[in-house]
Amino acid sequence: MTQQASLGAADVDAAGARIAGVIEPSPLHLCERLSRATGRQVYLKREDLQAVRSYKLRGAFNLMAQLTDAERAVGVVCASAGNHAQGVAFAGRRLGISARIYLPRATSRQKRDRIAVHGGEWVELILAGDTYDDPPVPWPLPRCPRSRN
Amino acid sequence: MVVALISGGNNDVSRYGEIIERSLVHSGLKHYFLVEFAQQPGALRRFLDEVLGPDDDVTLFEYVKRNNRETGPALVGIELGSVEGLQPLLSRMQASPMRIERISPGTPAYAYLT
Repeated sequence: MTQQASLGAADVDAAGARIAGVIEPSPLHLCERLSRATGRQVYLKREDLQAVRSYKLRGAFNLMAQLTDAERAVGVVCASAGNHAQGVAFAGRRLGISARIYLPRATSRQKRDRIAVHGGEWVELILAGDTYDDPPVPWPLPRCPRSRN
Repeated sequence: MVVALISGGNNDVSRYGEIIERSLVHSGLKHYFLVEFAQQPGALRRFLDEVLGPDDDVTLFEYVKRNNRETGPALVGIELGSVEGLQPLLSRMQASPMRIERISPGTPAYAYLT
């Protein structure tokens, strides 16, 4: 947490540089309909156009790109049924880091398929529990390198 | 100038119908009523002819015919052509001999029936 508190502009720039090769800058579109409705010029920053259809790829890739070789060899783990899971899966395949992704049992096939498509052979999906509040099965990894959800 | 960040989509395609429904209700285009039809031929036709406006669509109609009663309520969902169509519709309902009860969003009856 102390790391987050000391986050500065330079850290943001460094993160931007780390993900630059993988993540296209998303466009800024003038939205005529919202502009008319509000009387202001409203622009939409289209992060939904990212490969995984959300901004969540940024954080996942930035974190995983900074892992040491030893940490990469261990792999990462996350619990998400949606956009973060897709980001982790995408980054895992790009960086060659295996990822174990825990999903609630009720996760729809559509979401499971999207995660699997992005991660390919690098992801393992584990359906466990009815909600995120259910305690997970004991983490099967020896340690979880700075993984966040 | 305003910049809004579309952070991403996390929609379940199976819920699109629900999203459209909520949008129509929020914009005042979709309304639900309990309509007591007389259990006699032509009751439905009269409702369509006399109560519905030219741009109003029936989007839901749930009715169980019961022979042991003289009237039977039907749950009717109506999508208006425009928001301004609501008051004229309510007036025509009031003028009609049928007993029609509006089900207001947010009430338990609404949550149960829709």
